[in-house]
Amino acid sequence: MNKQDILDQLTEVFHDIFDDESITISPQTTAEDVDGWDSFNHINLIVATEMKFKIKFRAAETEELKNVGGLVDLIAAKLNVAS
Amino acid sequence: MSGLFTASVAKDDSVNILAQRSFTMADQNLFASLSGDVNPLHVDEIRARRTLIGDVAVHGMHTLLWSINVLAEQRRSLGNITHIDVRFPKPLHPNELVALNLTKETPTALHLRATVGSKVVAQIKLDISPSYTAIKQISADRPPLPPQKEYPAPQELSFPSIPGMQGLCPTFTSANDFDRLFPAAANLMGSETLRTLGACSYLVGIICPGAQSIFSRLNVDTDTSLLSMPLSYRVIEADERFLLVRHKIEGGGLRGEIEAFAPPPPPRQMSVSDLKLKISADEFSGQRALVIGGSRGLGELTSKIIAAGGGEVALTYAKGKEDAENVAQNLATTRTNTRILRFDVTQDNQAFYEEMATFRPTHVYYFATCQIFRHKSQAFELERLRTFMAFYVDGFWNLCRHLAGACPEHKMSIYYPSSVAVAERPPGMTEYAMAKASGEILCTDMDSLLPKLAVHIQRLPRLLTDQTNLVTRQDLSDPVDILLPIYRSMQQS
Repeated sequence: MNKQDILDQLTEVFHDIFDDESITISPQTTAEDVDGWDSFNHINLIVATEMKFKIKFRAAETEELKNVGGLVDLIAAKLNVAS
Repeated sequence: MSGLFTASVAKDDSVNILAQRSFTMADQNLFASLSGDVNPLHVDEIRARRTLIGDVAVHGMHTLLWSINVLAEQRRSLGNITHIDVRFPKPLHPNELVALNLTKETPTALHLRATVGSKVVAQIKLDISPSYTAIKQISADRPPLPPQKEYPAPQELSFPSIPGMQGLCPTFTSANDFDRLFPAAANLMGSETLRTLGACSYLVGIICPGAQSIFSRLNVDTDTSLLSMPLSYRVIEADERFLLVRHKIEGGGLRGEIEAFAPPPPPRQMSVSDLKLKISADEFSGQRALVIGGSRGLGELTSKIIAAGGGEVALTYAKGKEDAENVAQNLATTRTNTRILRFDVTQDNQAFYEEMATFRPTHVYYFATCQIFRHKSQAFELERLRTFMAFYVDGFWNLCRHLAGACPEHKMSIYYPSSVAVAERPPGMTEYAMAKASGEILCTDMDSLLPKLAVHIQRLPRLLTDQTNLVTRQDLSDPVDILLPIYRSMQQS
């Protein structure tokens, strides 16, 4: 699995959480770019991401995320995916 | 991503609206009596304002059942619903006009979205079987049960006590009672299953997490082989990071999971006895302090600070008389007198001003506020700005004007709490920042408008109150450390 694979699977998580299959995400995508990505859905996203990739984040790690790229990097680190 | 429930903008689903309605408080009470979920969040306008949501919210299961009922009315040839996955991203409040939108339809799936303007209050995904098989109505011959006179109160649970909880979930009415409210849904799914969905509301709102709870998600298969089994629950995860509880449920025709948040209880402001450790017994002696909005939050704390320092306090409430009495009870531990008065910035307060003519306040602390973090249905809401202006500008001006008239012979020091939001402009708070900025301008001009009043303005950071008591952890300043220096400065000026 590489980071593009992670991004593809993360896109499925976004589609599920926001019930919108037209959403496209990139490493630069931020909460301001996605309708409904508020702090409540941020928690839903994190929980669904953990289930999808069978990993766990620390609370501080999730609070420091700036964009989707940061989330992909974090997932990659948890999965020991080379950059 | 900062702050829970900030504004969101959804797509325009108006072309696919299946139905619209609003829920009244009578609807709230009816569903509470059917489900047993009498959590104050749903039925008590006074106590609901102290919850994280800050106002009465419609039961999520009520929204779901209404949605399924609408769908069943309009799609007569539906197969059986085999799976329900519903999320509640934002609260729905009584009297809001909610629209039910069909966002996706395939032979085996239907997606619905309940919205208020662009605020999404429910995302519903239903899996549908290709053909319909009639569901046996197990209790169809049972008469309706009489309404319950008393329902169990919500459990007050600490988060560490939640892991491992399990048990059975009771029901409070005949399944037939759900038929009457949701006839088409009952015809489609069977009334027992509807009652079980009601019981899911009871599980979250009364049992676990109980008193402080927010229903977030129901993700279940329907299974007729489980219809005769009572609904059982077991906590399979209690996630301390997000204060999120996950239940495994089974019985009453359903099998799956429920997710609910367990936000912290309303914060308790420091007591007078604790404040006395920080405040000299006489440093506010001689003050006759009028604390507007003194029944909770920063107004409550202000009342206690002044009383702890030997000042005399008149505190006001708009709705929470019981809260005001509790504060006064705590103030009674000092030797000062306390008055409790009703004052509502949106109404005529003639009797209040007559009493002020005799109380003759030397200091006024203005903490009248509406709900600050209410979820918006549009990016900018003019009506919301008007509401903030009514509290932070009109209400403040009217108070100052009347006090100056009622007590014309003496000067008064007035504290106007502004907010760092005026400069920092946090997302989703444009209307709030605009109203506070207007209030600042009014205060600045008060020297010429009402020269007898000395107005003190300070922008406060976000401090821990009912309104900032969020699920996500925040580093908030201790309000005593922020307010006390301001009040000491006012006392000396």
